[in-house]
Amino acid sequence: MIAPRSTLRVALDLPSAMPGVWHADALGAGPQSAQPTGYALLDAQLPGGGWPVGAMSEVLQPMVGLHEWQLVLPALAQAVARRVGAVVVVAPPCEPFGPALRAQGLPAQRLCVVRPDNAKAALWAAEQALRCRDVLAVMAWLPQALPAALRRLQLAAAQQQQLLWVFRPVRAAPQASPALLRLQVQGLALPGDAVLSPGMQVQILKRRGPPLVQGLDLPGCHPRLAQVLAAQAARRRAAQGVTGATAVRHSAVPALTMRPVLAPGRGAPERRGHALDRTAVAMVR
Amino acid sequence: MHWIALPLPWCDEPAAPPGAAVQAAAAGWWALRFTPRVALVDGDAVLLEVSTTERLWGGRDALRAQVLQAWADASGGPPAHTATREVRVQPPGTQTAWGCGPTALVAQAWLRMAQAGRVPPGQGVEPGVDGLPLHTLTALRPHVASLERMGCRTWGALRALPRAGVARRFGGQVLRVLDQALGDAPEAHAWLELPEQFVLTAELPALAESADALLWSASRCLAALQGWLQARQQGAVALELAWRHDLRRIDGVAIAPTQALPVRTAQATQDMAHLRRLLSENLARTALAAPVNQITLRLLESAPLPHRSASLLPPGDLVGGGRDDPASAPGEALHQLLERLSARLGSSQVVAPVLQADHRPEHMQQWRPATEVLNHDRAHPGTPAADTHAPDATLWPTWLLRPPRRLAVQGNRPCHHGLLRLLAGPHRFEAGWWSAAGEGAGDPGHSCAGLALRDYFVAHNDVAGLVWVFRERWVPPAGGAMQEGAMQSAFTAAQPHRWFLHGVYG
Repeated sequence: MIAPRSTLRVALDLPSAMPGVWHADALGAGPQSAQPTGYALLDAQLPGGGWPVGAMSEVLQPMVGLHEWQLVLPALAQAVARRVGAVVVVAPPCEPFGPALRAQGLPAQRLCVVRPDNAKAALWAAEQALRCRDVLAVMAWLPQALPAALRRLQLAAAQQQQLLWVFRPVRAAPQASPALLRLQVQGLALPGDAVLSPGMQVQILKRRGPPLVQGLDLPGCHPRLAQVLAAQAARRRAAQGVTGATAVRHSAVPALTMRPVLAPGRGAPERRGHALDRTAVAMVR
Repeated sequence: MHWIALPLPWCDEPAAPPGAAVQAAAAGWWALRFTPRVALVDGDAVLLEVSTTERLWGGRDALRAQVLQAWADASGGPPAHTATREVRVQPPGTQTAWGCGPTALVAQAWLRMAQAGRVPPGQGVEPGVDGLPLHTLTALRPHVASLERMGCRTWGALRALPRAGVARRFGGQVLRVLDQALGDAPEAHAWLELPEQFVLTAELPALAESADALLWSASRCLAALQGWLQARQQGAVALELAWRHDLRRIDGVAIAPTQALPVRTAQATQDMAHLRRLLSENLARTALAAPVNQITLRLLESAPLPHRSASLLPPGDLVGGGRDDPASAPGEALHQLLERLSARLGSSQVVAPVLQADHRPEHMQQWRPATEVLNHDRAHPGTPAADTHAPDATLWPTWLLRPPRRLAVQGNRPCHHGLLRLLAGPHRFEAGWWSAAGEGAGDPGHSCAGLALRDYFVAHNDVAGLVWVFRERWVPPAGGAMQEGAMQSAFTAAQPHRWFLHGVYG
């Protein structure tokens, strides 16, 4: 929706002998290697053009379980395809669904889930995973971690050049963090009867570069799911146009077979042709 | 013939009779990887005959440096990491007393001189042995006093005496030992041999009250195990640490005389650091039933260690190629990580998914201990498990709730952090009739536990985001299939649909 600021420029006139120094209005391009996120909009705003490799990326979210995979999975799929190594998931909020992850590029045999009992064990497990040379990426949910503990993770990640995402609640935003990159992600409110599929808004709280005022709007679900949702919404609106005329005829349809396609509670009865509609959905898929 | 003599890496107090022989022999196992001819003499020295193998190890000096290094590792033991590091940094040989010579007795004599501080060790050995004092030969010790009274103090002086007179006065043994020492008569040694099975028993220096205290003695046993493995060119796969309780009963409750802790690793290893970490993680979670006075380390399973192809380029190590890693990258391997995590957190807490061919989402994946799954995959990389790609898998959520969470219903609409709007669906779904009722496979609270009859929807609201919910469908009661439509509608009207949250598009 909102175009990214075009005033960003990469520091070319700085002496290259000074690593870690960049113009205040440009993105810091250091020796840090990066893994493209899979979203061009986001890549353009991140120093190096992606998630930093060998450093911690902190993601703040209003509710656990929302948008993590959507944000991380494209980059993870690329990394998994390119390099060997396992992906360790520490203290996830629920169970990762293997078939869906595999369909989006993360094979199940590369995934390992650690479910520690307490926050201290979670930190320990994440740090141990970062010290392992066969681990490609670590995703950790650490709601209560202290900055000192996060700093340990950051140093461990730098040692083995791994991807590290730490997911924390939004209320941790005022705390100091050693993360190289801090993002805040939240769902976009869906306007009343929109055809649009739900999206997510990413705000960059901290990066090597100027602060970003506006958030970035990214797709909130897989493109194929978005297609299906759009198709269904279009069909529903078409159906609503027709039902006004045919409502009287079909008032005797048994209650058991209606309701599912329409949003319940809207009160409009359904067309008789909904079974055909369903096959049409299957074909779209 | 070239002999190297070293003191025993550790000298225990006289141990209990059953374990004493094995324990003493274990002190020399570390040397067997350099040469098959190792002998323990007089209970205080290890002798290595290296003339046949020194070429393999890159010459006499290089071999001696490695032997001294191995000795330092065996004696310093794992707990004293800093001490071992120091030895490694300094040129080896400056601290250790050692001796070498063309015969075993000469080497042992120089070792004794070095131990007494008479010869600065490490400065090589001058060829003349005539100046060695007589007490350096064990067999001559009873006669040292009388020989000294005759003014005979050194080997040379003894050799200069008339042989017939010496034999008459001190016995033929003295002359034979002198001849053996000077290389004029053959020596016979009882060579050290490895036992077929590795079982090492150690008495604890003090009663151990906590499991942690066992670790100190266990690490010494591990050092002996390392020597055993290196000499046999094997790697350990499974170990068992057993301990014997000092008390038979506490407060009238009988306790088992022994208790054992098995430890397994996925890949055969000679790396004792990993085994020690596994042991310590397991011991930290173990409570001793009673104080312990004896431990036994037993090797349950070992596998031949494949020979690594040596690099043409020298490794960056100072000491030589003796301690190179198979994968020279720093950090530990994946199986080591998984074993360590499982040891501390429990193997049910470190899991990996195994995909199954099933239509029910909760049965599409099964969580198994990661140490089994990931290592198995590595061992058989050519067999991908259940590679059936469902066509609409991209429409499924990335998080799955197990078990499905019951949702409140408000006006026929499900609620999860507010009312949900159904965006897509239904995806009608009927499966699982074949599974037994006991498996609990079906929907919670269903009359027919195996059968799952559901309509899946993609739903949304602004707080919960995109979620995957299902509505349980009405199940016709068994036997009453021929019901009238009016009856059915009455039934459903009486019992509203139940909604469940089954997944989150995270």
